[in-house]
Amino acid sequence: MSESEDTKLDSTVVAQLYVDHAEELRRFLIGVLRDTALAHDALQTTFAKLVEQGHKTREESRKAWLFRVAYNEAMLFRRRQAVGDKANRNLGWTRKNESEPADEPLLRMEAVERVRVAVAQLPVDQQQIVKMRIYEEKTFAVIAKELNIPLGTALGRMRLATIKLRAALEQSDAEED
Amino acid sequence: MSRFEKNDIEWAAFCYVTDELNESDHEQFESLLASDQDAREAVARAVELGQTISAAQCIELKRNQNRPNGKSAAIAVGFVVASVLGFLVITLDPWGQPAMQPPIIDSAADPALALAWSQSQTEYDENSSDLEDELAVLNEFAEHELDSDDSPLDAPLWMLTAVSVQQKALEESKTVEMEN
Repeated sequence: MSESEDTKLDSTVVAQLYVDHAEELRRFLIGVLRDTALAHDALQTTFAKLVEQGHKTREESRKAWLFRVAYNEAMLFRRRQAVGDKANRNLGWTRKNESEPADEPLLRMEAVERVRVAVAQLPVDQQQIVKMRIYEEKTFAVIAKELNIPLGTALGRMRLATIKLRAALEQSDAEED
Repeated sequence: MSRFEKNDIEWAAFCYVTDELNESDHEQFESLLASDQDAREAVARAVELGQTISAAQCIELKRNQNRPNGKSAAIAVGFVVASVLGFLVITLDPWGQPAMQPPIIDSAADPALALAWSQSQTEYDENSSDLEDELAVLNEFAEHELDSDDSPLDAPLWMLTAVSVQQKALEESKTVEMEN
């Protein structure tokens, strides 16, 4: 057994870090890459680097280290795949045209239900913007034009809506913990 | 933290993942992601929020699709009401047998037609009373049949009536013969 193998992170530590942070990292990578399959590949590369280099990191900063490595990997993937083009920036929430990896993070049903109720409780004008932006995937410029409202108004309504909906989601997270 | 204030990081992350930042802000936010852990985690939260809202919207739309809409519900209710009314009309017959209403006939203008109508009414009334008598006999017969179950040796009414009629006829014929 070589010296480098001796100093590598224990597999149980790696497994625990995966359990603790993989889902959040995957979402971060989806946000950067706008592609679930690429995010999956970048996540695997990130944890492969953790196995190789994790022993050089301090325990308290491993989460930030993982995110930094993940970001760098995402940028590398982007350059390689040329996915940084403006045309490829759209993130399809509903994933209508995308194949999903088998280990796609599952949304918690109670969180979805809580957010569904929260959406229903929003003022109608905010509900409308949320539906058009998230489900119909229209840009705020298009929404503002279709509703005949200023762009700032559309953005303001969406911002208020996201604050309320995030609160509902965080409440669900807190209850789970 | 450049132009992205700490309080705005969640909104900036949401705009980043929905590609609502302009080119300059987009580049600046990505350079922030290279060094700011809060910004990275905000991106993860923004994606989670968007996916959760999308899933919630899908559920809501499916529920709405499964619910009958107002128009089809109204058609269904109308169909049921019409069916029930039709059934009631057929079974209860609220208007009954249409009565033969005598037409208004000016007897002075058409005395022949008035006479014909009067005769037809008389025949109808007679036939009606005959029919009612027959029905009464049949009912009596039926009731007697039911009553006679416990005394099978009793002669039925129709037989007694027939015998009495025949006997009466014989007596009449005898009386006629004697008179002759």
